Amino acid sequence: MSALARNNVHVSGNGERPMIFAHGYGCDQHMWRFITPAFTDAYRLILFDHVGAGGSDLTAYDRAKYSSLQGYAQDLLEICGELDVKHAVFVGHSVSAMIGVLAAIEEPERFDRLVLIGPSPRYINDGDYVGGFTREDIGGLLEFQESNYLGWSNNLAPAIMGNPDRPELGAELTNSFCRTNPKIAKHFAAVTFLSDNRVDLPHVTTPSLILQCQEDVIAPLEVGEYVHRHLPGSQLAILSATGHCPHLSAPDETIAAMVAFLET
Amino acid sequence: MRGLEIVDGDVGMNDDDLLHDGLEALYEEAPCGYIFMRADGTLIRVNQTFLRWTGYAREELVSVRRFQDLLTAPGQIFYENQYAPLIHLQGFVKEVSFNLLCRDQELLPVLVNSVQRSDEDGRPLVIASTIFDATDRRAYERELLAERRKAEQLADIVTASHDAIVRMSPAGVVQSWNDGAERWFGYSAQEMVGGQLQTVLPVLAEGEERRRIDADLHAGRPVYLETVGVRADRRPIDVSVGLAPHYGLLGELSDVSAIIRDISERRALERLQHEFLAMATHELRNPITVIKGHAQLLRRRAAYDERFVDIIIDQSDQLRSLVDDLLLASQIEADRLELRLQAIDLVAEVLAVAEQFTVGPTVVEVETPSNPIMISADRQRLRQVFVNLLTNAVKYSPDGGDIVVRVTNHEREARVAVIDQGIGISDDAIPHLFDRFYRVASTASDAPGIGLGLFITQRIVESHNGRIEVVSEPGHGSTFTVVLPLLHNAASSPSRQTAPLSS
Repeated sequence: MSALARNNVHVSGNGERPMIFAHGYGCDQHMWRFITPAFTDAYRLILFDHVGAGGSDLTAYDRAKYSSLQGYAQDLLEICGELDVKHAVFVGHSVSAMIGVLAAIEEPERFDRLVLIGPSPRYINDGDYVGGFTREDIGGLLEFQESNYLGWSNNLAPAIMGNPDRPELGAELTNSFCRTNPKIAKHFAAVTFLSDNRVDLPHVTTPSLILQCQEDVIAPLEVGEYVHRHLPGSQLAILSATGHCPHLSAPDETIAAMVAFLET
Repeated sequence: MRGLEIVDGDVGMNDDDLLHDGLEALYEEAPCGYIFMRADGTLIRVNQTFLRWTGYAREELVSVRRFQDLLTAPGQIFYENQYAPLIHLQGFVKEVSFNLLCRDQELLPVLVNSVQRSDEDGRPLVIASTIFDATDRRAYERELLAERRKAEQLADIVTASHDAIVRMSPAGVVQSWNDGAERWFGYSAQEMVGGQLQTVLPVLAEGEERRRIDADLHAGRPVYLETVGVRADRRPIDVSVGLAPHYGLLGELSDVSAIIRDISERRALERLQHEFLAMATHELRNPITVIKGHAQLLRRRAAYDERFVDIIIDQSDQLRSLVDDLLLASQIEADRLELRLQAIDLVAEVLAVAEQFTVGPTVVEVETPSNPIMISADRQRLRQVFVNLLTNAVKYSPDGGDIVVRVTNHEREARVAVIDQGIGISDDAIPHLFDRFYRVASTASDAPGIGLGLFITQRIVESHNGRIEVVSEPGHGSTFTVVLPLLHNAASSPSRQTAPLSS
């Protein structure tokens, strides 16, 4: 099956230069809806869902392949391959920032710029390294997630009646954004939050922008600074937005920082 | 509508005031928490119920803390990655489970429903949420999850089981079919589900046996039986079948689980044992009958007759050798074969044994090198090996023909080949030759023996770190070659050649 169908790839925009968006754990390509309008004229926009999320093909889920972020990076490169993407701007949120890093190390010619929103190469504290969480916290998250996926909690479970192409139709019945298969989501959470990609950072040759929020519990300032220190050719932009999703809570500021970076 | 006035005797309040008071009371004391927060989570209003549940004073929360500050680390991850994106994207969030961190550090499981109001440009202004105490529900969830996990584990066991585990309706229609069932019967789940279990278990076909089984199942008694199943390739398979009845709400038989186990090996062993007993009895009985008969003859005639005594001695020897074989086999079985190893000359041993076989009609020709071949062996056991092989060679050469025993010396091993021109052994029999109690089918009825000779022979050779090779062509004869390791340096050390030959 093609990567385009597998990953529910949507291509839009009027420009030539590709800009590819990768959503993080817990959501799907809908999370870019406040950002994409600003780039639609100048770029060729490529959006997709990771396998297991949104409108991706759940049957393509392979537990072994996706038991490390490398599997997701491979998907990203396959999408780039099928669309013949070169010199792209990659925009990745949270765990997908690291997925982009892995892909850019593997096939650097595909990417000119990396925009990393709230990246963290390791979420769990390790000696002097402060990731922000303990292993127990991650165990708690998985347990927690299970509770939110039980039959009666229709919140984040897949919308059975939803129309995948018109998610807004089902919005009144259930939460229709960020649909995800519970079992896969749990595995993705484990893979994400137990990942350690610190050793990969120095191998990146693509210029990058790190967008760091205030008071982000998922990727605290120390982590942003760590990434900046170890990622060659990176810029660190500290936003006034709070939380972990500035592209949702402060899209204007996020866009401004991206534009400034892309113009340099 | 003025009734309230009469009850309260409060003449001054109108309906709107009352309604306002009522709403205020309902808001503050509702059976759920109400909280209002800014888009960044900062709390701007909470009701009394929420304060009571969490143990905080109003001024400790309002404008001071954010909603996510009341969450544990896992909750915060969930809040940032799922709750916050959702509320931003769709303007509401339904039924999310959180654990609230209360003032006393206790956790309160809650269910949160939120709705967001935005300004004209779509910028979020306020998020209003209802908070329900989900303690009971969470406990139930836990139970449910534990049950689900248990069920999944059971399902895994069923899938991975080596036995066939299937479920059928009371009418015998297959409902589930595991990998074990596919392995033993050769039918896939796709082929069997919806079909009749009696396809593979004819015992379940209409009839007396089936009626008995049904009666037991309806009476709530599990059924165990041993029967013969039929595989997809029509071959029979010995199986044990355990049937466990399951019941519906009204106590009626709803379905039946069957655990079907392949017992062909056990059955084969049982058959073997049975055959052995019959054979051993027969083999032991024959010489006893002969001995007793000749002894009776001697007594009746009251005269010495050398021929009779010879027969008695000969039969006694046979009896003794049978009993010796049985004893030895049981020692081997119990792994208690003891060897008295010493350096001996293989050539001399082979010659000594061959000597015993020169009396019959068959010619035994021995080809040996002129030098001794020294090996480390238990003399008595080693001789038994060659006795057994030569006995077989003679026994299976009914039409005579020469038997050649060829001893050769190779670099690190000695080889003794016993070559006959007898009836030979078929290809499919060769792999079983050394099995306990095995007897080649076509010859079993003609030649005497209890099928222990080659079993013992091979075990003795193996216990000497050697091996036996068999080459055979039906109708043209067989060659059994015993390969034994040489005593270290013995062949090239002339000084030791004579050393242990005596005794």
